Amino acid sequence: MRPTDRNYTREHEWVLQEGDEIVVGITDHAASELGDIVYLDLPDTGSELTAGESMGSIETVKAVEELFAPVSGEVVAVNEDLADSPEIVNSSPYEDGWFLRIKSPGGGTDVVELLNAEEYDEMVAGG
Amino acid sequence: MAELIWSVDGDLAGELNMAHDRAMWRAFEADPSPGVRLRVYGWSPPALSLGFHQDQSAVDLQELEARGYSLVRRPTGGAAVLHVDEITYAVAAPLGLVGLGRAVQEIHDNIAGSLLELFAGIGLGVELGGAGPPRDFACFSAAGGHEMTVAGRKLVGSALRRGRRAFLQHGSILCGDGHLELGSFMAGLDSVAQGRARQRLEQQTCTLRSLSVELDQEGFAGQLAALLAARVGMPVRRVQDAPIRHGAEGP
Repeated sequence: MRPTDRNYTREHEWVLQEGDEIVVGITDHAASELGDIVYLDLPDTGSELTAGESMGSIETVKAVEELFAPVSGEVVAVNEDLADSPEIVNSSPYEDGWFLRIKSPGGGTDVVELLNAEEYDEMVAGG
Repeated sequence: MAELIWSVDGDLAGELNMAHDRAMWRAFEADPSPGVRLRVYGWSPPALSLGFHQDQSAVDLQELEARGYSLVRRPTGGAAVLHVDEITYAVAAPLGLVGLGRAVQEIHDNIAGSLLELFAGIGLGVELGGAGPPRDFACFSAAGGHEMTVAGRKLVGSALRRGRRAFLQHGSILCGDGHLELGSFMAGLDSVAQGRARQRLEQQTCTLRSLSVELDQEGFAGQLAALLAARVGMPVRRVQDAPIRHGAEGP
């Protein structure tokens, strides 16, 4: 069972509210399907994101994919460990492999559709 | 009606090739109605292509310019390829198409399946590569699980870009030895190191010519179009124009 303390998106990202910040990463399903991650292009601290729009990209040994902002807001922190060790996302997608912390002015109201853990599990199982 | 549209575009400049490939993909991102677009092409002048995130500082731009070669960046990932004497293919389609799929490995497997059928049909025993050694500057220094080898030496390299609604997968089939010169365009290598780089690629790759196989863009494209069309269950239609001239989005 995936962590139930957070929500999930149809783009296979997880979204965790911590105080007035939102932490974002990708799910184990995404990391597994993509394969060994070799590079992450994440937005800079201070960047303004718009929910649903492209915010960067991820490259694995098999493909390049875009990353989409799950919520609008300002990037207040980026996981710098991933620059040298992107494989952390594969080994620890929900803990050490977080991507960004976002401060959302509306408290996270400008978001894409969010699923709970059970709904995300069902979506993944449905293919 | 859903159809597989294919073209043989001849030898084009690197920038134009990448623009056409991106246009094919973006057309399906904009309208993911069922269909497949295949183009087969070559490179004139030769070009060095970098993967989407690959560091350009590793390239000797002066040497490229001196030889009249161009430098392009692919919309897909992976490592550097020197496109000299090869057949290049590009496939774009919406995600989830029956016969091609949605997941990254599924798309690779399905396209590889058609390529393996093509090579088997001309009597060539091609296999899918293994996990391969860690990433190098050169794409052809290692074969990923979705790429193709003959007797352990890489013949076909490919890369994928997956968007929200569509994908682009393109690949190079080595025809002659031109790719071996890649080391000549790597920044900071002296002649000894360049020689070693060439030797490594020579040991790790093979070409259609070294396998005594004659295949041209026309022959390859027609066969791949038919095989992919059978895989997705669509009729084929050949067009004379490359994607951008069909009014698809530009780069």
